[in-house]
Amino acid sequence: MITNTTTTAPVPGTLHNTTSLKTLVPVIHTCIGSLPVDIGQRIHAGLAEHYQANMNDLPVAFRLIDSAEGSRDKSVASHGSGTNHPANVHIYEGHSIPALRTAHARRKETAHIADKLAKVVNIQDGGSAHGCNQQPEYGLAQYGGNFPMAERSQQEAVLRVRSIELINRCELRGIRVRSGRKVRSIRWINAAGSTGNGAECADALVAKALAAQSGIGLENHAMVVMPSASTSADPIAARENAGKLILEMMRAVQDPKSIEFNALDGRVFRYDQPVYDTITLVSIGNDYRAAGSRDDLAARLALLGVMFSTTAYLEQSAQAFADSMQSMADTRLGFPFIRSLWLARRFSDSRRNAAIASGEAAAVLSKNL
Amino acid sequence: MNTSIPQTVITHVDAMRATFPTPPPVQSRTNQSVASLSRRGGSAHRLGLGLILVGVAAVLLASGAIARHNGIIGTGIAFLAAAGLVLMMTQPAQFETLVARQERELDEQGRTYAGLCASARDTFVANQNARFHSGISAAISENVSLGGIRGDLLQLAAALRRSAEASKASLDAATAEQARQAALFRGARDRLTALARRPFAAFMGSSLRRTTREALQALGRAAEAGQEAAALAAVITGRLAVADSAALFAEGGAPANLAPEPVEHIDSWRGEAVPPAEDIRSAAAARTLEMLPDLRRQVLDEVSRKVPSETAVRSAAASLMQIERPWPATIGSYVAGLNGALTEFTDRLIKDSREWVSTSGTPGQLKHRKVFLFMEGGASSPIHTLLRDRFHDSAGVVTLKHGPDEILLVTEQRNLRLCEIPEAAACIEAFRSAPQSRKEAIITAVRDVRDIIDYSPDAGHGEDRAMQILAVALALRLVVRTGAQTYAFEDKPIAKGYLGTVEALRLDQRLSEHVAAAIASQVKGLGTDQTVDALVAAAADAQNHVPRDAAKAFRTGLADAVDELRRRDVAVA
Repeated sequence: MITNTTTTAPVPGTLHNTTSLKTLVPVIHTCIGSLPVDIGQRIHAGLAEHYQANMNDLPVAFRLIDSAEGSRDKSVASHGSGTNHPANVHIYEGHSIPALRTAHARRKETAHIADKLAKVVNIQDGGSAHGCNQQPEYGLAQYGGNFPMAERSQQEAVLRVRSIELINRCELRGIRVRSGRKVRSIRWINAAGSTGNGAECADALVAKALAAQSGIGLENHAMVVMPSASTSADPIAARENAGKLILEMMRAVQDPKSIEFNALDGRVFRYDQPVYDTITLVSIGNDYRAAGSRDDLAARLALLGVMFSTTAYLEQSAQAFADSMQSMADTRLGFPFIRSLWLARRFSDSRRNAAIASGEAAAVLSKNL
Repeated sequence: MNTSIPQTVITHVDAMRATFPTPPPVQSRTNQSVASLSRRGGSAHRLGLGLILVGVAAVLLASGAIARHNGIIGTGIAFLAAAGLVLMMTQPAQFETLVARQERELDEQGRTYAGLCASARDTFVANQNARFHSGISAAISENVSLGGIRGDLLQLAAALRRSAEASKASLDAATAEQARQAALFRGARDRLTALARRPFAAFMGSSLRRTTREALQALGRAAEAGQEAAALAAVITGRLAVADSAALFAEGGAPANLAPEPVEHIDSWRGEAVPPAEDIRSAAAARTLEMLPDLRRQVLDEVSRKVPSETAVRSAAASLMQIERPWPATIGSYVAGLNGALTEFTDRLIKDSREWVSTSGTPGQLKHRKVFLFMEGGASSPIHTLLRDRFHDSAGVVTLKHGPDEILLVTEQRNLRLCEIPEAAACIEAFRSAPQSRKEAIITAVRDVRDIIDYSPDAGHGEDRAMQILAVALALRLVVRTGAQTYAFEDKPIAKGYLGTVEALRLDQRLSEHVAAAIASQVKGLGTDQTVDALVAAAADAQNHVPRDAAKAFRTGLADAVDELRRRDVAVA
């Protein structure tokens, strides 16, 4: 699931303008669920547009995981480069609910998940091919059933963004890699969903714990898409899931000891430091602007994701807000931990400008010939 | 007339004929051939007949009619042989040969002349094309529009075609004359052939000469007419070629009005492309008008190479814009050129970068907000200055150097509380309002679901909050005080002493959440009014709930709780 794209080098698009600015911030993009996978694919396409032929050698990792088969075949269109099938999406193996239930019932630590699975609506006999149907507990069970894959992908991702080989290749090609002291992991989450919703805290916890075991610091930056951007059939369930996830994530920051993940092989993952370094909530829009659709929002978020890798924003943001850490202790009016952000972009596309100018010149010339 | 092109091009037939080579003489050649006929016929023929007579007489004389003499017989035979030789020299085939040779030579001469005419025509066409090309260049330099040039070229083409049409009558006449003389020639030649085949044709010298003369004269006239026809054909085709060239320029240089092509669609999520399309269009139009003469010349050159006019126009326009690029080279130069519009540009940029989640804010609380500007020039850019003015006291501005083709503005706010984000608060409320079984089912991060169900990061957790929770819990009998000043929740002791219990609740967040959840459940059952009444009553009877030294803190906690309950009630109403 770590992307090693085999697509042909894309044609320069509007994201390719900043060729003179050859900077790269290594980042892991973790996307669990359909919307996050969509975002991840778009980020991949954006980075490919930006870094062109160097894309395969960037120390940037993508963990695209979904339970719905549809994500595998989804493609995104990149400006000027046509359709792109960028990233390798790992679809959960289709463990049936009874099989998952049996597996979780074997151990005392996971028995409560087996109990929950008893009440899960059976969507498909063959597994989760059509998603987890807004049942986060089913999402967690699927994550548990596919945990070896998730764990391996996390380890590979950390190694990729720290790979001296890839960093050297980038440096040789004139791309300056700005690695931080800690590995930065951007977690794209659909709060209204279920596949990512159920697995989110577990996967974030595992990411921190695995990195710590390797002696590597890891930052989890959660980008949580709120239900306003959801197209779920049941909006009430979407809001309930989102409310639950926000509480879980806040708890994982404020009281990380209460969060744990029990793997089916008997290992227990815990982490005694905040599981998330930032939690950013994203709605469908703000007071002035709104995205036209979920796809539009995914594309805008992907632009943000590209910006994380192409600018020094992450580093600068951490420095600029260092003084705000103190006020986090002031919980008199609630725990002040949520982040909000957005990006505005203006660009000059010489290809587009030339096309407009040539068209106008031809029209003027034909009139005055 | 807009240009001098029509004057520079030769359209008159005679002027054109003057450039052609002089036709070779045909009449003199015919006369020479006719003159040679007398040599071949008259005296030789007579000499032959005389010799025959002498020979016959000598033979007869010697054969015995008069006297036998071998010498005389020999002489007679010699005379007969000489006569045969002379008559052989005057065979009728000689005349046919003469005619055939003359025909061949004149045909050769005619073909050579036609070739010379064609060559002269090509030279003429090239010269005339060069003349109107230079005329077009001069007109373009004088800023005459291609419409004007085109009009003149069309006039010229029409004049040349008219003139060519007029010359066609002369050509037809010449061709007809050639055909007529050719027919006469063929008739005379046929008669000559017939005559030559007659017995004793050798003795019909005068008839042979006359017929040969007629054939030669008809052949000469046909050749002359042929030369005239060749010259006229060259004149006509030459003028038509010049007319076609002029028309090609005129018709090719007049494309239909091309509408500007629609702007290529760029997804709006990529940001806003600058400069605006209208600015680029007006700059491109102005530059095109400035470069009009060069562009006209370029288009005409392309058209003369038979490139379709629309393609030629688009190609000329594209190549001009490739070189000129009449738009700011970098986004920094675009911003620098905005002048008065810079403020509006920056304001729109700020508005576009507003965080994509609605927040209400908490009065009196410091906002941790910063804007990050990535732009060419960094802090020296004018936008940085404007941003500093806009956010001079409420947010920090961090500006970093960036590529020349892009501006990025990120607005970030941290340390927001969930209660400041209406959508988040609504989602948490939806979760809390869900049936217990549903809540328990969907919780996935913790083993003990109460850690999430009772968790309230959206509510305050300071010392005041702990004091408020303990006071309300005591008032509602959820926390009980034992005789040893130990406070217990659900039969489990929390701490000893009132202030000690407040401290324990402040430090043990999970415990305080559980107590708060129990309070919320009780309040839900009692209703707000009844709860407020119970709290007010407890405040009035503080000594029965807490020790004397803790009464003040107890009352304060209850008062805060009552205020909060009333506020919440008003909000709901």
